Amino acid sequence: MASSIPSGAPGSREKKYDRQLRLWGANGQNKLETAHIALFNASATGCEILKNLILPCIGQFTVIDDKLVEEADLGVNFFLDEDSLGKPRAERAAALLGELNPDVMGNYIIDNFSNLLSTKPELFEPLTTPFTHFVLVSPFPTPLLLLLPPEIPTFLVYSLGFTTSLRVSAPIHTIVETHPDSLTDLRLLNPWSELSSMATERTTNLEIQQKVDGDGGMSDHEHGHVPYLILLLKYLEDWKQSHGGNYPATYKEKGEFKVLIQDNMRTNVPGGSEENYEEAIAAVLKNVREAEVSSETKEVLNDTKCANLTLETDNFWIIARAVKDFLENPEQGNGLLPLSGGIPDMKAESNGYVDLQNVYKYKARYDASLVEKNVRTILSSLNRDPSSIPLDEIELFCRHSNFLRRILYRPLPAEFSTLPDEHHKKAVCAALSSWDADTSLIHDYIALRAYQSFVTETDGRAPGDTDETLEVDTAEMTRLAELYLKEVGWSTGLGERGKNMIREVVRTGGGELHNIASLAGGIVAQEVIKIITQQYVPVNNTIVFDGISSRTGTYEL
Amino acid sequence: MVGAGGIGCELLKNLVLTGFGEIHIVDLDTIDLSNLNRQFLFGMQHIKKSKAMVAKETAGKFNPHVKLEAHHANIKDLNFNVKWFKTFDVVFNALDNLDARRHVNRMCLAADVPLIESGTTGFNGQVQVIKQRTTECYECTHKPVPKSFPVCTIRSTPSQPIHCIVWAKSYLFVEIFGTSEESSPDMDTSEDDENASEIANLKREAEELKNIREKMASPDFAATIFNKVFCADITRLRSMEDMWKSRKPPKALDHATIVKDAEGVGACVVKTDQKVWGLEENYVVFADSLRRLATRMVELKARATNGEAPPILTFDKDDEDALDFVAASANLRSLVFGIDVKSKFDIKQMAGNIIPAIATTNAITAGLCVLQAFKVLREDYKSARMVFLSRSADRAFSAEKLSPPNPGCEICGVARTSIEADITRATLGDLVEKVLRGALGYGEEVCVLVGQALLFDADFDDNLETPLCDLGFGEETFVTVKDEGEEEEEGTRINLVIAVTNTIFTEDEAAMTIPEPFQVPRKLKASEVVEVNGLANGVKRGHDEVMGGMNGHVSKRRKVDIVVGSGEGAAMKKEKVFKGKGPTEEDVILLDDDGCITID
Ligand SMILES: [Zn+2]
Repeated sequence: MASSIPSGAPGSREKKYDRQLRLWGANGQNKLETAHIALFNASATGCEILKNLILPCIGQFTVIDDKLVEEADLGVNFFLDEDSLGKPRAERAAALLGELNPDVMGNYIIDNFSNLLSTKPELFEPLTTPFTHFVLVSPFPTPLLLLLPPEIPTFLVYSLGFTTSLRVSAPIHTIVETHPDSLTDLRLLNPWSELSSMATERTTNLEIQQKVDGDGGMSDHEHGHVPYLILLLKYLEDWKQSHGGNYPATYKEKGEFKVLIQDNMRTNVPGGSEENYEEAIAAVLKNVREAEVSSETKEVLNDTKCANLTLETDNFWIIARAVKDFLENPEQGNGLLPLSGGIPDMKAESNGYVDLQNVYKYKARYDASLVEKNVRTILSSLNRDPSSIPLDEIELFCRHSNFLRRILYRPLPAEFSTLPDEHHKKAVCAALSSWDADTSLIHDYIALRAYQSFVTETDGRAPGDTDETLEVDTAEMTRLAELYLKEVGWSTGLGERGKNMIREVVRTGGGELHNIASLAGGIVAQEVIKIITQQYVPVNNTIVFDGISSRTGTYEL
Repeated sequence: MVGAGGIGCELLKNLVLTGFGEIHIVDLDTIDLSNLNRQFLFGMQHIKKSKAMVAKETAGKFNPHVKLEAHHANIKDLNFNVKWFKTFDVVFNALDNLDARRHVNRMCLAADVPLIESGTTGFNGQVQVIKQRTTECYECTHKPVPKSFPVCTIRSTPSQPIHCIVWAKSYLFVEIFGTSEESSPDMDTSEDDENASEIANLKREAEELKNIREKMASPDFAATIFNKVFCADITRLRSMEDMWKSRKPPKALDHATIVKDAEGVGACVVKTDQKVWGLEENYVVFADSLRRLATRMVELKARATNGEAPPILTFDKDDEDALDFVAASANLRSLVFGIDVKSKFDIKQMAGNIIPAIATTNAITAGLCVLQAFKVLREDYKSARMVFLSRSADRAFSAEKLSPPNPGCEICGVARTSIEADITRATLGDLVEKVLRGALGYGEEVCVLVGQALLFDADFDDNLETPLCDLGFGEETFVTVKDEGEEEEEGTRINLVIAVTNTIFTEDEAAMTIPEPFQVPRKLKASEVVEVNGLANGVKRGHDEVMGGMNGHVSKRRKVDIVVGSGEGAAMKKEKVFKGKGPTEEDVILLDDDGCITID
């Protein structure tokens, strides 16, 4: 192609990240590009996690590690090469990882967590730290874990042979773009006046067979193209007339309602049935229901953050409050959330479909404009610039208003203190006594807890790292696991599977397998991205992966 | 490893560091900028180079003990025949399209080589283990086919943006820059009574476009095209009063008015690909991209030598000029029909069937592929799993036991064998007598087909003396054999597919190899089907057995060898992968039957 021809190419950055922009959009990408990830421990797993964050373009990363590259690293870590032997791991990993993406800035610190805590405490202070997220690949002694600042989202990772786990902890995490399968909210039982009148208008001659042009009847073509939403609205109205003003509510009534629709279908047409009627019947069970506020959205709207707004409150909570006001105001939502506005595809003529689409769209826009008004009022009352939250952001929030999420991550000390809290005890005991306890991955977790205690008392030495101590280490690991179980109030002790898991963890001698490190790198980075972009629902709070059975389990511990 | 894209890069890294002995990489593609957000074996300096070659080069550095071979080629090429597939212990599919997946599935069934099939879409992914007669094959279950729209919807009654996009991409673009003979999978042009006249209309309008095409070099080319497709054609459509009785009629666009209104809109609007353009902006992009494409076409024509087929352009989502043209044309048509217009970013996804892709999902999927490969190499299909990844917060993925083959599957519900034959010397008689009746025990009543063509049955023996090459056999030919014997007590045989690979033998050798005799399974009565494979039928989500014993010997040395690799950089070695090479004097690590790594 001649170079003189101007090309319409969008920036090469957009093109490079095109495939992921389709998952999290410019919103998510911007957040990703301002993140600065600190990785403690440039192990194979640590490097694989960073790889999966550097490729989609986080802003910066810093590798923190005080070891030198050994032969042992080369066979398992793709991001350390022959030339790296004997050099600082932090430096080499940062250099090789950095090559993956020139858009990302890489840094390293040749030091360890414990030293830095005393020599550079500012790195761990929320107000002074350059880091936005911490990724820690064990081992770290427990007292250090308890010193981590709760304000900074932290990902604590274990990767030992075939066993891996991730623990996420973060300050209150809110999500607007949860990406549910569908945002559609049809309001069939709560139609507003424009929708009702459209349904009436479009169905006046529905039952009259057209004989000749212009006789006021409906032709077969027209009849077969009345959008199914209109049909549902019309027959729901009919049903109400004959059922004392009530809509079909029970499963049985909905079945009868389907028959009612079926009976009104024209069958003397080509094919013997009408697609739009079939669509209407198929939609009954799923869509004929009261518009309800989801329990997740209720959690958000009832959070104290919604009630106690201050000058510093996040936009999320301000808009949430505006939506709550909308919901509770009889002049506005009157018990309903702002409408999302989308409708599914259906058999219809183009104009019939577009008109219907517009009725939903205008209502959604109107609802959002009321929420916007509430937002502006709230901002003024907080002495903030009323226009400081753009309409786009409010509309996005309104579209997702029934799918909001707020996650309260449990802080690490609640789990790792010598005396874990009641929630933790209950969660572990529940998993140990559940019907699938025999195969539950909670045993993997318990073995990793024993490992955590072991490295704490040995100052970082992994159990099973030498032949000589193998027996002793296994015994000590078993003792630590039993001790932990006692702490959580599980009196039955370590079962057969628990003992197997202890042996499995000791067998690895603290070593990683490349393939598992790579897999763990994918699982961990995925959760990091969800937290950074504030999109999709991240795990709360622990995910365990077992490479032998290719299984994962999640627990809130 | 078929495919060196997103999953392929991860997979190759894992295989190399896990210490597999010999890995062949097949990929037809070259590297594109949009690959770099996940295909980490490639960098900016590799753009437009072969994926297979670059992947080999980059990954090879990490373990010089692995033999890597790259094929920058289409897996459907004839040299990748059944015999070639048979040389592998396991095949990994890391492909992005249905057609190639199906092909490899069939080749692996024919070669009786286990296949690990994988794919991802955004956060979702899937890993499936396929082994002939043991598990479901790729085609045992129905796969959704890409959606196709009736021609009338595209031609006259669009109601959704996608209809206008298909029109712009598969009709307008093709008529102006491509060859209209090519049929598009997006459009269903099968004729019936109802749409015959519309198809005739479409053909007539296409003919008119072809005439305008001749004026590509003229300065008012854009105006001419615009006037035809957004004004004249629409006006004609509008005049068919019957059509618009119950529909809102389309509104033709007036070129002169739009040109005037669009004054001052710069062509740089095209850069704002996530913004929804208005009428004037769409017009500007339409005219500008059409000019760019026409210039290219004129240059191509000037360069073309006599006798060559006239140059054409084909739509490619990554060709910005083509994408701009399709986006703007689709939107202008949407405006004509009162349909929502879309941003160029969205249109690209719809027109290009773009599948979102990220590094994390690929890493997880590739890791799972290798874990399944360990089980496959131990022939432990009972603990191999079919794994589904989703973005659900409850679990990263779920694993299911493998399903047994679908007895009704047309692809794997047949017996298979393969032979080599010199097709210029071997006759159909050799095949029937020596292979079917001799080695496999077929009787008189047997029927032999290639595709739909009948070559032989009990009443048709004309071809027995004919060499295979004269019966349409090529480098590799799949022959279907049907047992038409009387219902015997053991039942008739299921269909047999023989892969015949053309091979040159010396004159003194037989012209055809004879397969190891085996019993072609008999058809089962429906009631027997369940027990066929030893894998419980219909049990989908069984208990995973408790993790196998964890009694591997533990030693410092072992840990160093497995986890870390020896000084020479050799990582874990696997006996089965190193087939024929024999273990070396060094410690050889085996994956033993309980899923643990132990050491000899
Ligand atoms: Zn099959």
